[in-house]
Amino acid sequence: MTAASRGLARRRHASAGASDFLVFRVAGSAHAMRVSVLREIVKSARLTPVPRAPETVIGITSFRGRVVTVLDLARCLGLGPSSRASSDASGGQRARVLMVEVASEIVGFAVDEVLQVRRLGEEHVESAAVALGPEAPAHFLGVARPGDASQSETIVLLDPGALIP
Amino acid sequence: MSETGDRGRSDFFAEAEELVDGLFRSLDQLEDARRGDDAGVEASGLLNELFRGVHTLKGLAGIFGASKLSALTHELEGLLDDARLGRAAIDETLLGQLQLALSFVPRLLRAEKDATPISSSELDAVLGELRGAPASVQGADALATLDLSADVFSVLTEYEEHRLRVNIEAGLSLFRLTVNFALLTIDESLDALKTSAKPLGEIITYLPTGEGADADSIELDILLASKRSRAELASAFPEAAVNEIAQKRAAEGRAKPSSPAASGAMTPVAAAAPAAPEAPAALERASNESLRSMNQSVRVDIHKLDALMNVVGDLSILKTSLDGIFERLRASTDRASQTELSRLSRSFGRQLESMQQRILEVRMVPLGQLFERLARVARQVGRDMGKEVHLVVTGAETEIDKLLAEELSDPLMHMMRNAIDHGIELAESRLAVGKPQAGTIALNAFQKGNHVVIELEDDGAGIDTERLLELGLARGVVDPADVRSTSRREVLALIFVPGLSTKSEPGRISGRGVGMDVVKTNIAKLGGVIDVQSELGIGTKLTLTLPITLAVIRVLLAEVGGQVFAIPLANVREAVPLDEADRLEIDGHEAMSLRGATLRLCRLAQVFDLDPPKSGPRSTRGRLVVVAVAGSSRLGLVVDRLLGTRDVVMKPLGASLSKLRGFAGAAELGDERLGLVIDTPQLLEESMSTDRRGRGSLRSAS
Repeated sequence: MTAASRGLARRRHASAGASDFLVFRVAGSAHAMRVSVLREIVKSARLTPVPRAPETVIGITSFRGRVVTVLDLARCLGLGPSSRASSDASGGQRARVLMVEVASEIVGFAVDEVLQVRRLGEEHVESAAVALGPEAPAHFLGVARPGDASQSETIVLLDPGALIP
Repeated sequence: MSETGDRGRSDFFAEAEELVDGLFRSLDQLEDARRGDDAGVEASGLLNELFRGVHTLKGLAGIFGASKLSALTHELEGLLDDARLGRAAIDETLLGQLQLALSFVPRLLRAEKDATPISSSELDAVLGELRGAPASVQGADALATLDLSADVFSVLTEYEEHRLRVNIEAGLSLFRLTVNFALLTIDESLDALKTSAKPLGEIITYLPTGEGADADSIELDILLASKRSRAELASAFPEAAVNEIAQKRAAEGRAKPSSPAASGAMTPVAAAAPAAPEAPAALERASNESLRSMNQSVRVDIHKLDALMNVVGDLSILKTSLDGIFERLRASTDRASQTELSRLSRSFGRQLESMQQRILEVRMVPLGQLFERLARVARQVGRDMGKEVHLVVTGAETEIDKLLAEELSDPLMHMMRNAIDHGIELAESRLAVGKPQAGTIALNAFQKGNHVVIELEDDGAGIDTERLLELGLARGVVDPADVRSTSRREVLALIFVPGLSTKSEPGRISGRGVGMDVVKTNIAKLGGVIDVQSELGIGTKLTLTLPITLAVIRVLLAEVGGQVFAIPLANVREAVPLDEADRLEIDGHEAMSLRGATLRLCRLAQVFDLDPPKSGPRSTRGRLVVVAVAGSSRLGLVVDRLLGTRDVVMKPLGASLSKLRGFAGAAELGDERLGLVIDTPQLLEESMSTDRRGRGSLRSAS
């Protein structure tokens, strides 16, 4: 995947006011994170389950010489357990772990499928407060409606830093 | 042996050079500060820094028998002490003298290293310059005008007195803030108060009033010098009673006879000044020469070594994979290639191992540097408390991982302060019970297998276990029902409970023993344990047992509920089969008898909430008990089976799992999978605390 992310990095600074987001599917709907926090997308991670850890933690894995905690993104969002049941991150052919760097720690987020990279400008994004009211959880950055009328899908934009237990 | 000596010497040069660099920096800043607006405050901080730096250098010079450097730093220290305490003015003369003396230090170091003597006359010339007395501070003693009782003056340190004088002379008013603190939270409350006081003025000192609303609180008088009005301060510190300490106007009080400024014959400024500019010129060459660093050692950021270690770890994993391929090829390839491959693999393994070993060696430092710092703390605290203390150090050459040495510094300082503050009695009490007037503190270090043991032993008052037990009962830490069954060791362990202390009056030095709980936590974080032994009237001994290094540890691999865990071998004494016949039930807790002694059991499957293996009826058969020890406690860890031992590189879990208890980290097990490393001391403690709770509830139920 590294080639893909390098491609993304190159495009990142193309226009001001807009950022590249990685769009992925988790618990049946589209979510996205800024590409800039992404370190790598891993296809299958050998996971070691961690007793006593919060239930959002699926396990730990080794990544670039570090011990990385892998979180079930669906559970982090309060959307119930994701499709992956086993300890090996092989919840499905398309399942991936997003290695994300937040607050100088690398954390893995397990998602059901990686969809695409989209450039989202301010014109596409409603802030969390507007979309969900003042009660919106801290990890919701906002909601994007990128397409024209024909493509009415919404993408929930996430702040991974606020998702860490 | 001579190797440690050489190593010690090169450490000396490295540390001395670093100190001199720091001293030059401080001196430059001091010169800048003198030109600045807020000169007074900044300069006093910098002078303190310089003083401490020179003091350390002097200590180093003393240890390594660098007599000329000793002489120079001694003189320099005196000069700085005078300036620091306001006995000498900070002027061009002083700065010139400092510059001159500091420039000479690298020269002395070089001579020391190359064993090329420097002529005594050269040194004498510099010393002569330093002895040219500095300008004295003139004028009446402002302190005499303060309406402050003699008791207060008598407890101020010389430095506090000096700061008080400077503030008063600068026209600030002195306030007495009387605040009542709850004993349990005094450290936090006091810190909060200090922080809010910072923008308003300078806290000179704080003294207990001897009053307190009740047994759980303590009243302190805080002396604050400030430009603000009483009303402003009262609103800034609503919790305090604020009083201004009146200053008698009129210059009725001349300098007190005891005032240091008034003693000694002082040479006028003009006499010393012209000499200063000449000498530096003569020394210019010396300072130029010393620009090139003379020591061969390289200082490396420990994190770079960690990164290197990670690479080695990854290489070992690669090697395991290669070995796997080699096994598969065995059948198919010809004999010659097989032998060749096997030879390569073995020598690769050897090189890898030696690389790991060498990186570990680089990380090791002797404890001496840390002990030297501790000795300074001991001297300082002893002086502050008015107690005479002899420090006897053994085993300073014992080596330990650099990271551990750093992390040990704070806990050991705290233990040292405690020993002097709470342990060593005042001279009269010591003489009354027939002890020598000076207290003795022994600081011993030695290696014991894979561990380094550090002991701190004082010949002081010892811990009053009865008083400690009473306190434990009063605070609800000890259940009254358990009193009779509580062992002496358990009572002594109460000193590690937050907020418990046997000293009822507050000590300014160590804050009434608050903090032993923090010491214990910090030691535990390093994988170590702390034990306490004490006899009332005879003394107290604290023993730290620490792993030599954090990086590579030898572990026992054990399977529990289908998952592999690593148990640090350092904590494992033996493994025995779990025999149903030996099982005991004590107070509702599982235990077994092992060669006549009772061993508490801890089923890992249960505490980690793992699925038991499918075979239900065979739940006990075939299981093993790993006897784990930490300090002087033991615990039997019940596992399904053992998979052998291995050297692993232990890595910390990510910050998101930092609150997780029971695991010290994770390690690569070679099959691209991580294994969790069990934190044995933590499990031991957990099992003990549930035991305590369990026992309590059982009693109350009956």
